[in-house]
Amino acid sequence: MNKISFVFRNKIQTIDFKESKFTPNSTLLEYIRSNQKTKGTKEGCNEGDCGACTVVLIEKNDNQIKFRAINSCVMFLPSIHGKQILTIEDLGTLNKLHPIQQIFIDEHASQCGFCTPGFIMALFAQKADKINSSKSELVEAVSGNLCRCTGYQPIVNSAQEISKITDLQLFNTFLREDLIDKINKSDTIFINKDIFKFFIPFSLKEALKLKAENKNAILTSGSTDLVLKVTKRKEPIEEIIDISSIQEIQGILETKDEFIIGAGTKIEDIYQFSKENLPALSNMLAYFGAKQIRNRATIGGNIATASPIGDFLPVLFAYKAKIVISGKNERTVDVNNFVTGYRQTILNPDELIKNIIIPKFSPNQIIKSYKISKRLNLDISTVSAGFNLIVDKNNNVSDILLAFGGMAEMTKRAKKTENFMLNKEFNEENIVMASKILLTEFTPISDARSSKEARSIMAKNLLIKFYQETK
Amino acid sequence: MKSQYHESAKYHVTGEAKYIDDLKISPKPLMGFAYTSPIAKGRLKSFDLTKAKKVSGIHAILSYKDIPASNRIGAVKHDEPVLVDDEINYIGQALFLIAAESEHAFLEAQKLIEVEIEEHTPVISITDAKSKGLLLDTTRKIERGNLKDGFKNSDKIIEGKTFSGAQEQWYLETHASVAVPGEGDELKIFCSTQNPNEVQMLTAEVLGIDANEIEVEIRRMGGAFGGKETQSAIFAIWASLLATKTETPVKVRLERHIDQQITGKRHPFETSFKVGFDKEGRIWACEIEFDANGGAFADLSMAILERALFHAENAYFIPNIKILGSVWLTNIPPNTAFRGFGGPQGIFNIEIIIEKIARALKKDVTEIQYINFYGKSERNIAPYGQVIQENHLENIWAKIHKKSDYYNRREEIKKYNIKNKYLKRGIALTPVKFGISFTTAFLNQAGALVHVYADGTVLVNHGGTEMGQGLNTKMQKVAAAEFGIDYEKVKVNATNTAKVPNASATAASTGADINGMAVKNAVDKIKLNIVEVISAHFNSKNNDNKTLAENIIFENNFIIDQKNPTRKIEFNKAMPLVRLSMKSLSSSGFYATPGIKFDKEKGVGTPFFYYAYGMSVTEVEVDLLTGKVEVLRADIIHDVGDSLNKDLDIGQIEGAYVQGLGWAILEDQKWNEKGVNITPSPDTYKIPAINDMPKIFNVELLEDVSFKKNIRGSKAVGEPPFIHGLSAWFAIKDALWAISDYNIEPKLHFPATNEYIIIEAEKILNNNES
Repeated sequence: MNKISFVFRNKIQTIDFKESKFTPNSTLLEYIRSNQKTKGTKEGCNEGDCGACTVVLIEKNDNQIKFRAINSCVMFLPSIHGKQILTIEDLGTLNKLHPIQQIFIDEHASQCGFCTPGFIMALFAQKADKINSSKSELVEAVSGNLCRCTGYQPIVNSAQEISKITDLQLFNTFLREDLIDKINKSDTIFINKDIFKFFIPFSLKEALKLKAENKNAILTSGSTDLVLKVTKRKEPIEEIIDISSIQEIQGILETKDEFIIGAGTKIEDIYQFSKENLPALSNMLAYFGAKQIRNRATIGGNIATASPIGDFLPVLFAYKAKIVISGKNERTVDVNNFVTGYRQTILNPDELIKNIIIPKFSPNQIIKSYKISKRLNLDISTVSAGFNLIVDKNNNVSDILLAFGGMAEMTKRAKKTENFMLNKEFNEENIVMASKILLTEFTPISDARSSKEARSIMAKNLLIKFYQETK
Repeated sequence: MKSQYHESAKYHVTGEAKYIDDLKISPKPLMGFAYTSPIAKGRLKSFDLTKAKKVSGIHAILSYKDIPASNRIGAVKHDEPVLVDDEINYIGQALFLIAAESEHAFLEAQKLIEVEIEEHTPVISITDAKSKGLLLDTTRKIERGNLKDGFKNSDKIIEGKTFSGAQEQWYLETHASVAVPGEGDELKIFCSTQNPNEVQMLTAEVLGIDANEIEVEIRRMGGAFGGKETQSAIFAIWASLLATKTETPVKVRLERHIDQQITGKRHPFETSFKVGFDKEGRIWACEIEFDANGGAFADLSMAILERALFHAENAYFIPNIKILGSVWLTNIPPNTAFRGFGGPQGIFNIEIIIEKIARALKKDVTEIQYINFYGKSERNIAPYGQVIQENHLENIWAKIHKKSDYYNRREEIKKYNIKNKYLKRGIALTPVKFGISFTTAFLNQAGALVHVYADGTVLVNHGGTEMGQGLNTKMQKVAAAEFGIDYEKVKVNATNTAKVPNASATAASTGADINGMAVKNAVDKIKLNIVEVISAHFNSKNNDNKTLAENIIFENNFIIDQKNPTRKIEFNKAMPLVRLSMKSLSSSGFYATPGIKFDKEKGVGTPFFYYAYGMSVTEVEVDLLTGKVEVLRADIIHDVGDSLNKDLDIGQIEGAYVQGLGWAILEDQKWNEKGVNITPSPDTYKIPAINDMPKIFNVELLEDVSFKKNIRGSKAVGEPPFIHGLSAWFAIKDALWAISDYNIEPKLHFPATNEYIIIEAEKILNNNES
């Protein structure tokens, strides 16, 4: 107990928290930078917003190996148990550069160099995960890496060159599956140090038991949001249950009638899946954080935080999704009824989200999602929306759902506007009238992202845009 | 000259490049923190540190009473306290310094500090500061001709106001310093700074020790952009105060949200103008008044304001002109240098004026730009009296029209805009003429120290600092070219005040110019010794047709008598001979830019050694419903003389464009009425990411424009291309004009983020409907 093990620098490293200077609230970045030999991983913002601390996480689940770029600043140190970490120092040395490193030199892709290791690790992970990644996929892989010097052109040029690399061995050679396999990944990890308790259960049953026993414990999976409480607000989190190692709540199952998404499924995996099956979801997830965030964050986590600007809820409203909750008993609720207020949900202290069910929709349903943010990538919604429309043979609205994020203390439907539109013809005149009702339906706030005036217009405009795209 | 890779590139890509926080310091440094003011304006009444000092892991807590000598610092005026001793003037101003073993200990101690603060109402806006008369220094003025006559001769007069916003430098590496005490008063400071000399001098003043006891070193910065020109000093001083108190190394490294909260930004400017012009659009008279938000202390604000005045007319000859400028004190952190240094603010305003003239006359903006450009032999004198030389404006204007296919695309855009109600495209050209030199004349000096070792390798020290711009690479190339040897044989050292004293900040784009000349000067002196020894060496074997010193050249790793080319010796083989002959292979070098002078009282002089020129054309598409802007294409032609390193210069231009674009259309720095920075982290303050750059991005260096007076025919590159990013703002404005078929002028906010675009588009669309 009190120990975690992981693969780093070609060895199994074990941290005994009783002996260590680290606590369960420490981040992976702090651990990496504590070693004089691995200073190449940089702290640029310590909040998952710049990518300078990007490292590669290698996971093995169900015999599948997955390389993922992650922000090491928004991962609790204990969460790396059972995984392998690669940092820039692993890739190449001055005398034996990795081809990606050589390409960065050839393309003049570094100026001050501070962001460079993060870019290289993100690109490395993309290639390791998909060797035939295109230039645009590689660019997407670094859309969460900020560079203030180059203006990005030489990095785009590097992506072009990197896309030509075909030898998977240049990436797989760093994998130490033999070592990953040696680490016990079935007995619950329990770290108890000073005021801190940190649990890593490996089954749903165990997690529910722990949650019942530790009512104040906070559940976390990707922890990309939760870590900020420690690193930015400087508030220690005493009890944490990390549910990211529970296989039962991960993955996507397609049945005849529905898509069942495990609450612990990484958003990046849902995004990749949604590209073919759930276009409105895909459209939203393309701009969800950046790849490093999507690689850690989960759908369950995003919903459970119940943020009024969370990206999932509006689009799940549009899909009329259901949420399966596990506790003493299992229950299923409409996503509509899940959030009860600002960051409040119907979850009881001994419950957690197990699955999210997206019913398959009929071809006559038009489902769309929208996100407005100041910057395209790695930005939080100013206003977001999910719409579901059925128009009958006579071009009358027979069913309509308009859900908005960023317009109230929680994701909310524009019910008055819906009522107005229902059974009316789907035409420009009615949309203009509907949009006027919409303006009266919300009283958004002004904050750093936008004025309330702009938010109101944005919501109205999204309805118009929806009409323009569907008429 | 051939492009060389950045001298640190291989260290960057392997993670081997060391920044301040990566240095191995022994013994392990304590962590230095500040207890900072939560309010923007008030007084420190009393405090008690007793309980806090008792916290385990706390090694020292200092107040202003612990400062050994002076508690006032500043780049120009010493008006800024290191630690608050009475008045509080911005949120984040340091009250106490804490040396701790861990952040945890600091947080515990912070809770136990007892402090009584009296809160006053802060002044945040320029308007408020003006109404209270909070002028930093006298209003600056540049004036030429007769405004009255100029307006009388004009066919039309337009008056208006413009605003440009603050911008956070957002260097990837936040401020960081480590101070390591040595014997007696000795102190070695590793500091991420553009200005090691100022760090040295200010630290000496605060500690009350001699400058020769302090050594400041910086190998490289993780970006700076002006943000580390003056404002790194205070963090080095914090570390030094704590290090001398604890007799242990102390590191101060700011967290991102602290750095953004407490350091200065690009100055927000409010500007009013009145312009008179004729039917063709030629300007006859212009009156411009700048008001800058200086923040709480002087910092470099007056110099920044002066550069705004020097760029108030940009590339245009204005016969009758009056430019006024004032800096106002407010309760936000002291605003400071940021790439362009007031120039962008000045240029933005005149480009609005040009645009307004064009719209008033229903002409293409680029035509109005063209007819107002400075001439080559007449209409070629700046408002402050400097003759504009090497004027490439017409040349670039013609070339950029062709390169960007401006007229055809303009027509295509018009067609596109008619077809699309909610998607509008716009295009704009922005020219820049940028003056190069520190406008504070004495700063235009540089030093170098060059050593040649007996194996033929060269070590260059110079007073400039490497912040990513490739200065060390350029210096390496300059030394190699002057010695005629391969650049691999030249190494450039970390910048160190013990090697080159009294250097100016690496700023004002002058880094390569002045340090390059200083390096050349040092090399020239060493070459005199080499030539003396080697010509004697050649002549020891020849009785007639003696080798003359003036015929010795350094080329392709050889030293050659060019009149008798068989007489040659490899550079590395020659160096032991020089040593045997007991001649020095080391020399300092010095350079002072000639002819720089400016009379601030009269507003007349020659503040610049030369001007750099360039132009950009940007096309954007704006989604009027979501405010989303897509930068479809940008073309740039820019003048860097004979480039010292083509790929590095293009990298500077691309980077500057995107940074300028960030300022103009994305980065919205907001303070609330209490002086709280409400966008203090990358969560809410958005700099451009990879998908914000132009989809098509063509950057070209202007050819055949060697500038012989400067090092190897080159010109500076750092700041001038920042202006190119403004063309994105003007392109958005052009797109919004299209909503009303160019009848209603959009009131476009600066920066033009989606929030403001949506509101303005809504107004114009509603106007169309009614």
